[in-house]
Amino acid sequence: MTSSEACVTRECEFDRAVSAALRESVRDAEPAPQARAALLRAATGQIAQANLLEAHPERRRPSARPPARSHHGAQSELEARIGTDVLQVQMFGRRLVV
Amino acid sequence: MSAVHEDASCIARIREGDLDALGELYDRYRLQVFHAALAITRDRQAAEDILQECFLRLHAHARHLDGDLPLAPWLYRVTVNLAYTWISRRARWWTSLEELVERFDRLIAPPRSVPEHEVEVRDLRASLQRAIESLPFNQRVVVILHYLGGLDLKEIAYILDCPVGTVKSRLHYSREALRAQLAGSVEPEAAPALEVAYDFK
Repeated sequence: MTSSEACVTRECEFDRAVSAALRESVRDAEPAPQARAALLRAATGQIAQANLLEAHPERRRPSARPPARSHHGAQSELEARIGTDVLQVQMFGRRLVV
Repeated sequence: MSAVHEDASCIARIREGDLDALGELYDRYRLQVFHAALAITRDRQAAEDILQECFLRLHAHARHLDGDLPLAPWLYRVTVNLAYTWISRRARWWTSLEELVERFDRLIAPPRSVPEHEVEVRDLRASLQRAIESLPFNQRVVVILHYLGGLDLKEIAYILDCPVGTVKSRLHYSREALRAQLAGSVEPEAAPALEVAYDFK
């Protein structure tokens, strides 16, 4: 066996060892038998909620965020405020200097 | 009918409100999802929660899924994202406490008489499992998807939403880290035998 073949063999053995360790770590592990029924119940709840919201859109939970404002608008407002503050500081500074 | 077509047919039925189709997909993929979640989180309850949330998301997003594509990578993607969220929310001190308890359990566990070779194999696997658990999240996920899920680099790149080269490099560094950690955990007298098999230098 050449050294490169031996290296490949070692790599394969290492890969096999990692695979085996991972398989062993989850071997025989299964979700609880009642998990399937719980999933289908939860999915039924999803359908009921979607139907309810479709029939009564006003029941949609209001978003926690404040009313949407255009990004550019908000930016200009922020810029305007910063500009004013900076201007006031500058004016104050000038007055102090003066 | 191919697996992709069967999945597509189930997804179409889910869109029409057929919950039996969701149950069929659950039966088909539950172990893959559960084992991946369990391997990443090492927490059975978390793995069960992730399993349920994963299939609830499948149900909720069925109308946006492309039926021509295999479903398994999408399920893995959701699983990895949910596992990442779970891990990032978990308090660090709790992990340390669990490790402490685990070490204590190992210390007080009664010795069992098992053949020497079996002990070596078991110790090696346990060392590997600990080494995998200690990898950073991004590397651990790649190792689990590749070695447990049997996925190739391209599929993992889709799941993690990153270039194939990144997956390749993460896998490379993971293997280096595993080798380094195993080399560090091997007892001096046992080292020569393991080096022959795995070249831990």
